[in-house]
Amino acid sequence: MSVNRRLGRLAMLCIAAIAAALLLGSCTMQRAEDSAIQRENIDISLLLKRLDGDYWNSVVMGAEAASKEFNVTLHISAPEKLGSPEQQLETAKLAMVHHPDAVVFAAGNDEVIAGIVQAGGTARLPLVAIDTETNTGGINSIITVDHHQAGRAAALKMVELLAGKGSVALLTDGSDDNNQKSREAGIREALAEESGMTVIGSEPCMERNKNCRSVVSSLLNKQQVDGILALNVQAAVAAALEIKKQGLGGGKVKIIAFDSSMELLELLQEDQLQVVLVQNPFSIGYLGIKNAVLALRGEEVPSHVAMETKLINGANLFWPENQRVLFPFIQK
Amino acid sequence: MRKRSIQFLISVALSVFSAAAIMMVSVLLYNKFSQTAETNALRNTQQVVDQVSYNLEDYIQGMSEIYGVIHDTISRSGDVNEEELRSQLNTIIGIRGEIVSLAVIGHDGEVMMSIPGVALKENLSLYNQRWFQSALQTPNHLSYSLPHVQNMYKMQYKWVVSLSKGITVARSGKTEHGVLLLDVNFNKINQLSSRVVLGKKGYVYIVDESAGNMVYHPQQQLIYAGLKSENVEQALKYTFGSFHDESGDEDKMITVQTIGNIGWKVVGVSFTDEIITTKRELNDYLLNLLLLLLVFVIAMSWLISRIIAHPIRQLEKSMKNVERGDFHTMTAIQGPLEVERLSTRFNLMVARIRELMQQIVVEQEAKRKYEFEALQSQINPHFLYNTLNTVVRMVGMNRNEEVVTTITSLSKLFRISLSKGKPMIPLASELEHARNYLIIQNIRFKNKFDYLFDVEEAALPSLSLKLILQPLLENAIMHGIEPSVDKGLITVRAWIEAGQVCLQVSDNGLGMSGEQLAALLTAEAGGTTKPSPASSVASGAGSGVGVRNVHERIRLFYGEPYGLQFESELEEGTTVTIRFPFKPADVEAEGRGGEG
Repeated sequence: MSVNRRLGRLAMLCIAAIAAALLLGSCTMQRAEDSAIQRENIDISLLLKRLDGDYWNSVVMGAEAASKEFNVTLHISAPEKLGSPEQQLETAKLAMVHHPDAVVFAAGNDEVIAGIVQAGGTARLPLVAIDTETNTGGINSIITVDHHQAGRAAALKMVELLAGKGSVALLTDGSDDNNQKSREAGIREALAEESGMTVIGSEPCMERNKNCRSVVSSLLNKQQVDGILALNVQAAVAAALEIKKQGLGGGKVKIIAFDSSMELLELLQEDQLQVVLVQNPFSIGYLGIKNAVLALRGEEVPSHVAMETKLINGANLFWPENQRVLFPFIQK
Repeated sequence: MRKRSIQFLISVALSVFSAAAIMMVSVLLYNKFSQTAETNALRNTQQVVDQVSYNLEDYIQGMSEIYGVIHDTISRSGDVNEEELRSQLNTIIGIRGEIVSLAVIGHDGEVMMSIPGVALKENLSLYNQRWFQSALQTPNHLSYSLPHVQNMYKMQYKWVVSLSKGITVARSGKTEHGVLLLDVNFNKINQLSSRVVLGKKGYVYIVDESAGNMVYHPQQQLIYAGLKSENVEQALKYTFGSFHDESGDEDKMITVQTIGNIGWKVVGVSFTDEIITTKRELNDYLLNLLLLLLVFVIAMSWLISRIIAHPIRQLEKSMKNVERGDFHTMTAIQGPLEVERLSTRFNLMVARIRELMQQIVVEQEAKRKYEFEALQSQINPHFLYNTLNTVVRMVGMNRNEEVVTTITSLSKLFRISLSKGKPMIPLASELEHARNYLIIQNIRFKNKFDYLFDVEEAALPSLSLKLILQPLLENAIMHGIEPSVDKGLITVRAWIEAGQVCLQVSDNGLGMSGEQLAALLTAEAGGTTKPSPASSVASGAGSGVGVRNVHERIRLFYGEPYGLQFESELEEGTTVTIRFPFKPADVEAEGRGGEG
């Protein structure tokens, strides 16, 4: 009967082992699921300078494409319109409260950048700057066009259009945005190298006081203007419209603009302005998120990614490769 | 566990066998499962790609049918600028929301009609547009353009696919050649393709087969920006089917399906690592299962082997005890049936050994007793006294010759009796002893009997127990011859029969009754000192005791079937036969040497 007792014990052992097997089985499945979740539930905070406009729409679309590919949850925030540095910093700090895994940001000036870097550094977050020229340290990856170089390219194009001789006016937005300052520096540097070129003024032309067109109008009335370099879309549109109104279109006064909008492209086709220097905001947005994910994974990311610019004129506007950049592919 | 112990052997054999079996099953299952997973993935991809192709083809078919209807409507109308035609066309276009615009363009590039009435660009040059060119080149063939931005209209830049074909229209009473353009929103195709998922990362793209231009790709913008690339060349080589693409950093499975009449290819891209992930998960699971089963099997085999081996070891321990001389040990009856039986047998065996040892003790005691008694009978003082008395008488009667004979026989008798104290002597000596005894007795009893020896030569070399004939002769003389009035005859025979030595003493005396016969041998062994009723009647020589002593000794030495056999009939005489195994005398020296 001790044999029976032994057999009883044996049966108990069997049951225990089978139970353990089932437990283990469910465990391994659990583990597999955990690992699947592990690095796919990434929260990234995307801080932008503003949310309206074709440029920023494209940035967001690029970021969204990357977020889909890398399974990232995006939290996009920006101050309304183009906020002051204080507003930008406020928005950034607010976004950090929600403990994102990484921050991808576009910031206008060093003050804001330093603020974000400080806040992000405290939280030990990977930081990726897009469309932001800066020398501030502590940023994992900076993805931007070399605005100084872009300014030079635009200026050289103007020189080419004017055949090396003429007076050129600059339209800025009057803010202390780093990108704008770099562009202006680049332009001035390139034009200074050309003996025949003179810069006749750098006029702030802000959308907020809607005086852009009168600025352009008084500029045209004051002196002979052969070319206008508009550092932002609003200024470019205002300049083109004013020139159209005054009948100076068709190349009588050459306009080169930075960035594009539908309105600007329409004016380009009407030859009211000659060249648009465009970036690839979709790619900037995409790479920003991608590099943030790579940094999160601990992979090496390039500290500086220089994006290309394109000079678009009426002739190459509808080239297939340019259509994709200029016209939003996915229409909402 | 010691090496080569049953427990070790069973454990190892069971574990190895089970592990091998489990491993084999696992490998087979893994192969089968992973194959199925791969096949399923492939089939799934193919089905999805086929479905997308079918949907697109269906959609394009629908569009070309609408194009046909519009074409017919315009061709049949009297004038392109008729208001009735416009409303008709508006109705047709209204059915399909994705139709962006419709235009009839003259072969010189002038727009004759456009719906809806969106303002056209001022400096419009349609002549270089691809859709216009292809319509002019093949006027009767419906051309589909690649997705592009339609730039005919002011402030409207929609992504469209243009359907174009040569058309003959009536305008202001004249028949003119032109091109009919239908712009279809690309969003629909975009939607049809973008919702497709192949696994977690897989996707579908559409490529134009003539030029390899990308029609749709979920990451088209990244491809144009140079951030991504797609191996289109390889996909273009296939009309339909699947192949592996190992050119990129990730191993991909490409499935191609061509959409008829538009010249597009739907290409499904699924990632092999997703299938491999499934495989790896399966692999991990099976490996875990294998380990668990192995642990389980080892535990089980250890337990089973222990259940078997433990009682055997117990048994061994008991045997060791017996080996050491402890015959009172008892092994516990437990374990498997065989071991249980073995234990029972062992216990029985030990009990039997104990019994036998007990018996040996008893037998040895009896042997000593009988030997002692035999010794006693050798030097029976009564016999000696009688013989010496006879000798004295014979001396008195001057029968010197007889005295010499008697004394000689007596001396021989004692010499043989002693025979260096050995219990076994050659049969010849035993017969010699008997003869001397008979000589003495014959002289004593004044020729009251005759005696006769009938001995087979062959029997003489055999060994015999000492002094087994004397008590029988004594018995014959005392009980058979002496009481009889007639002269008696005692015959001593010896022969070999079936390897046995037969000694027979017969007399023609009074004989014995059945009762006497029975009493002679069955008298209580322990009560040897007490004379049996039969012998007590006779002279006080204790002859009954002597006969039984012979019988017991023979039995002790040779075993059960041997001993004395009496045949007796009253007034006829008694015959006693002794049988014992033949053993040559030379064997005796070593065979019985140790016996005390």
